[in-house]
Parts: sequence; structure tokens; C-alpha cells
Amino acid sequence: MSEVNDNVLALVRAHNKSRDTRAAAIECYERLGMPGTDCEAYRFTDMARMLPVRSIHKTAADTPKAGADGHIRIVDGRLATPPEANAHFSIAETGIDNAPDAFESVAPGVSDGMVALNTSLAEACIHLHIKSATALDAPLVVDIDFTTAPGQLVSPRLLLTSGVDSDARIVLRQTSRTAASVNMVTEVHLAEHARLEVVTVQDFAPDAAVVNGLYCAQEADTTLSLTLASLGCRLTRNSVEASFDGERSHLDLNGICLTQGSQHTDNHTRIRHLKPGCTSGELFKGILGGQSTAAFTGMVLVADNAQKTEALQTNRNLLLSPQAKADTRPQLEIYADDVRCSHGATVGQLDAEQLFYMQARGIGLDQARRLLTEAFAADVIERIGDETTRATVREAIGTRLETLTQQ
Amino acid sequence: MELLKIENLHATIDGKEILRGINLNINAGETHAIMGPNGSGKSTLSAVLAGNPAYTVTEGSVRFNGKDLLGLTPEDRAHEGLFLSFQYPVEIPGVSMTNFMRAAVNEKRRYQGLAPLSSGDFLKLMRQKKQIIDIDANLTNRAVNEGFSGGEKKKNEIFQMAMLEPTLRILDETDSGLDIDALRVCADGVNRLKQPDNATIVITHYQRLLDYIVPDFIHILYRGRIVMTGGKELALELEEKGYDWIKKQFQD
Ligand SMILES: Nc1ncnc2c1ncn2[C@@H]1O[C@H](COP(=O)(O)OP(=O)(O)O)[C@@H](O)[C@H]1O
Ligand SMILES: [Mg+2]
Repeated sequence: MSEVNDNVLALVRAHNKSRDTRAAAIECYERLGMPGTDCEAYRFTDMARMLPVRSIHKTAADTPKAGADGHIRIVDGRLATPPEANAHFSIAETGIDNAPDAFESVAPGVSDGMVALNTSLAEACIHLHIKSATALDAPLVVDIDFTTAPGQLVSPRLLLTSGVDSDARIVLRQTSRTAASVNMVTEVHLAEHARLEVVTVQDFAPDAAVVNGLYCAQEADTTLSLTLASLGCRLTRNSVEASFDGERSHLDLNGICLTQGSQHTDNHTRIRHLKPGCTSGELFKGILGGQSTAAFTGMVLVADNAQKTEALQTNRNLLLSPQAKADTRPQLEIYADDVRCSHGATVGQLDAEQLFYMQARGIGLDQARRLLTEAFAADVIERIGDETTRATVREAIGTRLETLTQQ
Repeated sequence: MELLKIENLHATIDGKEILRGINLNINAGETHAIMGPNGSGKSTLSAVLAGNPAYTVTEGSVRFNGKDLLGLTPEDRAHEGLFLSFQYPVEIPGVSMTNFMRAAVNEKRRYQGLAPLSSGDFLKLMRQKKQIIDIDANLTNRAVNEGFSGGEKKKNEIFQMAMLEPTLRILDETDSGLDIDALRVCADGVNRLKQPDNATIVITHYQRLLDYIVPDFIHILYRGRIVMTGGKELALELEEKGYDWIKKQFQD
């Protein structure tokens, strides 16, 4: 395979001296390795080829500087000086070996090579906790910036926990101006009666390669809304997993990805209905230009005791160029009988009649394409609950579509 | 003043020749009706004039405002003052009427070297034009034609025409699917927007619409050719004798 990545294991070993959590993760990585297309979950993306790893990023001793905007800021995997203690939430950075209990409770380190690699290399666990019985009005914005050199693997590790009966919105803004190599893992845990919205915006330099794992667990009576807005870079791999560990919970899982040139985006999602009476709604859309490719996998597991499950899944792809290619793969595994599950997938182009109608009214072809493409993206954006975040995402997508829709 | 001059126009779709040598001259201020049995090529003619890329012009020429119409993009034809009211207006879910019209009006202004309208001026213009066609205020808040009834769609076409103030108005079967009240509203709108420097082509299957929009000339299109031209009395003759009268005469 790749000469570049043949020595990753050696790099991992050299990087770590001892420590238990690490040692276990390294053992797992030793067994699993960097996934290739022979690995079912990575069928559409050869990690060993797509994620350049020439060295491992070592974080600076100094704490990065926080911005003046009041945002929580993570630079190259390290937390900048956090905001003052707060009645609604807490944020702290620890080492991997003294991380909070919830650490590693959700992400499948033993079965996923990329998670094992992250745990092997993460230098810190950043823990954001929403306190019990609080409601945050404004969204918490977490700026996750990357400044690392090309081929230098950086492995941020984030833990989001929502206390009992809490209500919050979090925006994860991932950005880089460099062609960073990123392997990030975020674990999300919702205690009973928690309501949480997490919107991830991925706005990387065009040559960046990003693996982003988002692993979620929901206790009973919780509502989680996840949105991934991927604006496109050389490689974007989102591994999203959500498990219902309690009854009567709801998950909204939404994604919109834009790709152009020879970019590749792979959204791999897995929803595990393990308890009765839970509902999930999944909507992913892809907008593809150039020779770009996008893949969507929608795995839904309904365990035999998970009666009264409702799981709806839709994946739609819009090809703006004849060379673009979208793969879509629903995978429903249903072991309960009293369930309502559906899935639908489409791959299509802009409608010629709609384009002509707009042109006949004097709207130029580029603008007509942009208006129709924005309309295609609109329902995913509308599902974002927080109004400010929705406006930000709409604008970011609108700007990117200006170039994407030009012929 | 000559607004439109069509000479020996031939056009095909999917390799099948539909227009087989159309000749037609239209001067400013005139109203021309084009009638003919279903499938004779009326919508094809309007689509070719508007620049629908699904059709290929294989022969002939069209001059509009002294310009080579066939050399212009569909959007530039609109900017030059050509307007087609579609027989089947297209639904565009997710694009609001307001955004759609704003784009259309401002692109035309840009073509004319004018600054875009301010948001306030644009909304004022919308309100003003809505009155002309008596369109439901809510329609402009909805997505373009989405879920509109047949009558609402046709009214919306006339509303767009009012917004864009074209010099050549092509109405393709504006009467089809309309009840008599909606028909009157649409026809009134067309008549009120009539100017000495604009012209109208009314495409219709039936004589009924021509009671409201009175033509100066009537052309009968059959099998891709204009086979007969007359004054407004031709519509009455056609009403009486039916299209079989034409079909028999111009079998081949
Ligand atoms: N895609 C197509 N391929 C072949 N023939 C077509 C196609 N679309 C329309 N036609 C034919 O073109 C002819 C003219 O249609 P049209 O212009 O809509 O007629 P009219 O408006 O006068 O009823 C019809 O015979 C129709 O069947
Ligand atoms: Mg027709």
C-alpha cells in the first residue's frame, strides 16, 4: 500500500513511553492497524492511502491563547485558557490516564483502528460538561483549529457530557489553514432527560485530510440532534455512531457535505437501537462537483428487544458534474418485529426544466444552478435548531456553493 | 416598428422535426394569435423562441429588436424583453417567489447597466404588481409554483410578466385549466400591461380567450407550419368548422 504510512506503528511506539490506557490502545492498534478498503467500515476509503502520516504532532508546552470572542478554543488538540468557571458548564483538560470515567466508554477503541490510533496518540482529553438541570440559552461555540504541518498527525480527543435534565447547544467549528492530517475522536454522553444539539462545521484547507469520529450514547428520555456540515477537503471521513442505552429517546442525525475537484467525503453512520421506544431520523445530503466522490453508509441496528422503534433514513446526492460519483449504502439489521423503519436513497442531477424556467426569467445559468443547489441543501440546514448556528451554516454553505456551482 | 421576424424556422427535438419552416413578422403594438390542433408545434415554437436547450434549430433565422435572437442565451433573450408564459409552469421547491423574482429583476437591471434594487424598493414593486393581477399575497411567500393550483400558476406567470415588463409577450395556453373568473383576471392583466411598444403572441386552442385578448391577426399552425393567416373572424370560422376542416385541407 502506501510507503508513507508503513511505519506508523513504529512512530506510535516511539511516541509513547508507558501508561495503561495508552498501552492498551497501542495493543489494539497493533492488532487493527490503519484500516484499508478490506475493512467493511472503510470500504469506500482507504485510510492508509488517504491519510498522510509522516510524523506525529507533539503539542507545545505552552497553553494556546484563547480568542477574544469568548469561544472555547482547541488548538492542535490542546485546550486554550478556558473561560471562567460557570454555573452551566465546566471545561477541563486532563491527561489520558487520569481522564474522567466517561472517557473511552463510548468510542469503540477495540474494534476501530482509527479510534485506537487516536487513543494511542491523544495528549489530552478535553472534557466539556453541561451541568445537571441547567439550560443554556446561547450556543457554546468550540473553535477547533489546526495549524500543523502537512503529514503531521494530530489526534484531538474530546468528551462531551450532558448532565441529567440539561439543555444545551454546542457548535464544533473545525478549521485549518494548513493541509493538516487530523484524526479526531469525540465522545458524547447524555444522562437521563438531557437535551443536546451538536453542530459540527468542517471548514478545512482544501488539502487537509480529516478523520472525525463522533461516538454518542443516550440514556433514557434524552434528545440528541447531530448535524455535520462538511464543506469539503481532500479527505473527510466522518464515523458517526449513536447508541440508545435507555428507552424513549430520540436522535436526529443530519449531514450535508460539499465536495469539489478530486475531494472525497465518506460519511459512515451507525445507529444502534438497543432499547424499546426510541426514534431516530437521519437525513444526509451530498453536493458533488468536479471529479469528487462521496460515500454514505447508513447502518441501523434494531435489537430484538427494541420494540416500538422508529428509524427513518434518507440519503440524497446531487451531482453537479458528470464526473462526480456518489455511493450510497443503507444497511438495516432489524431483529424486533414491532418497528417502523424506512430508508431511501437518490443520486440525481439538477432538473433541466427548472433551470430553463429560471433562465427564461433572466436568471443566468450559474445563479440558477446556485439557487437550486441551495434549495437542495435547505432542509438539512433547517433542521438545525439554534437560529444563530443555522444562519452561520447557511452562509458558509452559500459561500462555498458559489464556486461549486460555476460551470 | 418590426419587433420580431421569423424566417423559415426549422427545429427538432430528439431528432424529430417539429417546426418545418415557420415565417412570421410581428410589429410593436400588435397582438397575434396562434391556433392549431394539439401536437401541431405551438409550444415548440414558443420554447424555441425562449431558447429551451432541449430543441435544436436546424434551419432559418429569428431577429428580435434587430438582434440575432438564436445567438442569445435564454437569460439574455429575457433581458432583451422576451417573455414566455409557460403552458406548464415549473415548480421549484425550496426557492421562494421573492428570491426568484429578486434574482430575475436584478439580473435584468444588471444587463441594462442599472444598480440592483434596494430591498425596500423591490418589495414595493412586488406589492404594486401584485395588485395588477390580484394574486394572493401569500403566494409570493411560497416556493415558486409549489403546490399552486392550475389557476394560481397561470396568474403567477402574468404576475412575473408584470414584474419584468417585457416587449414581446408569448402566452402559451394561458387559458388552459382556468375557470372563467381566473381567465378574466389573467386577460385583464395582459391588456392592462399592453403598451404601444410591446407586442403579444397568444397561443390557444380555443376561441374563448380571444374574446378577452382580441388579436389583430390569427395564424393557424399545423404540422409545424403556418398554413393560414387571417383576422379575428378566423377564430369564429374555426370554432364553427373545427380543426378537422384544417386537417383535411393540409393533410400533406
Ligand atoms: N422529446 C420529444 N421527442 C419527440 N417528439 C416530441 C418530444 N416532445 C414533443 N414532441 C412532439 O412534438 C410535437 C409538438 O408538440 P407541441 O409543440 O407541444 O404541440 P402543441 O403545443 O401544438 O400542442 C408533438 O407531436 C409531440 O408529440
Ligand atoms: Mg402546447
